[in-house]
Amino acid sequence: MPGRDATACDICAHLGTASFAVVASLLLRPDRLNNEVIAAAVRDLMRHQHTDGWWPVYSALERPSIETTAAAVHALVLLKADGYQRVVRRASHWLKSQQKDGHWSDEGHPDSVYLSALVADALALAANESELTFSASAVATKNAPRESKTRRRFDVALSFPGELRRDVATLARELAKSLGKSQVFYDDYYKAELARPNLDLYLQSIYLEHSELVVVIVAAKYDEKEWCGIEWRAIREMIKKREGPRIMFLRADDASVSGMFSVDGYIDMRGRTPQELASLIRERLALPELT
Amino acid sequence: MTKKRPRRAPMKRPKQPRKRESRFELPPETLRAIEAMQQQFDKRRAKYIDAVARLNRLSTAEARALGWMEFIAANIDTFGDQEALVHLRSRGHACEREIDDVVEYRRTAETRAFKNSSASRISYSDAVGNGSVIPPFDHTADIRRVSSLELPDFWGGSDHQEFTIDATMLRTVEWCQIGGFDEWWERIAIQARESVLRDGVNPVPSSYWLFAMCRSDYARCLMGDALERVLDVLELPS
Repeated sequence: MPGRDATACDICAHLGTASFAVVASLLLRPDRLNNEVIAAAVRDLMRHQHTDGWWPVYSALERPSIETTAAAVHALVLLKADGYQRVVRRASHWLKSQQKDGHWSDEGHPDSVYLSALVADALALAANESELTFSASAVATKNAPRESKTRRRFDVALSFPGELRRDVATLARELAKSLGKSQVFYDDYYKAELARPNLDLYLQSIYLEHSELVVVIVAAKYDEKEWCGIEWRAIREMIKKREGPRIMFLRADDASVSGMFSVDGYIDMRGRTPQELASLIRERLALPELT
Repeated sequence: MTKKRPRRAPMKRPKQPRKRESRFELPPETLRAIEAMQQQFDKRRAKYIDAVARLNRLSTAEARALGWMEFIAANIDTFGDQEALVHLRSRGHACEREIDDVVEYRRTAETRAFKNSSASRISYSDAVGNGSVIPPFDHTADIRRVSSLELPDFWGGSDHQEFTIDATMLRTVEWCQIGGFDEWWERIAIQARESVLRDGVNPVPSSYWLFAMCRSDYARCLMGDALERVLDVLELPS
């Protein structure tokens, strides 16, 4: 077992090794897990995922690694770590975006056939499919009962007044690029689903129960608009239930909105591109309070 | 008044490339062989480009990956390419022709490994006959007990496959039900046990090897104890 050069400093974690150790533990001795080691590895993985969904080889590096990302997906899915679904979904989306001509290749890493088989298994694990190149059944039975407490359908739900639809459509597109369209609740993406009676209640349940983060785009008379008003009631209910970490305000102007106060933090949309706004939203999603 | 005609700059002659004479010339049969190889390479490349163009029209990443794996499995060129076969078998493909090709490929490589095993080796042992050429190993040898210095593995890979190629061989055995090479695999397990005790474990590189091996059910059965020793080291506080 000769050496692969360690090029990074001692203080940063080798995220590949963290994932490899978790997977090896689960496959070799699921009855005798070293919980301390596994907890440390999972903490490192959760902390160092880039907002775009990838992991670097070393925590201090800013360069994505396909191999490390695929291995991290193996570790988190097999372990069923708390909040793993959303983290893995982002990773899975990023991995798909890295495919070129039907395969994956990474500079200075294993050959593309090995890497592609590894990524294909990671995608299958993320999609909860059973067809893999190795048997994960022993692991699955040991860890089956642990379900995440934060399993929600959407990563982000956007609430906005109609006047801003053009800007919000661009923002939604940017978010869909990195999170996947199915993870972004933007009403235009769900026209068929929303064509139903009692839409007010249905929308409120999407914001209250089925979205990790509700991004409220505040502009003049937001609270007075018919549909925004309905959504705003659901959002205020979240504030009442102390679910503030699930709310993110974006302001399009300085208008006052009843129920929103000067102590509420927000992002000023003015002068920021949709790409910048999408990046800030992804950054917020990556915070541990939401994982 | 006569106008002076502007003087034209003298035209420079373009430099003729100096014909460089080759110090040596390749024999015609070598040139023909190189040309044939080039043609074969071009043909293969065209086939690959065509296949990629077709699979790029598929809508999902998974479908494109499957199409790519099918192409690689149908054109196995290196031992590492056998991962494509593992992927296809795990997704329920029969791959009978490809498996036959892999078995043939392994047999040829094994025969070559036996043939090369005694190349230029002179015995200094009185028992064998001092100064005599050692006969090559063959199928009667107990491969498990022969050092890989005397009889190297019949497979190999590039530097990038250093930590994964053994696992690929084992994964192919289990997914394609390839028999007849068992002693070679047992030797991998023996060497892994010896290496852990003799050389120690360098955590980062060993973790790549361990991960690849753990993704082989056969490897976990064959040398679960050695794999656990490596894991023990990874779990030590740094």
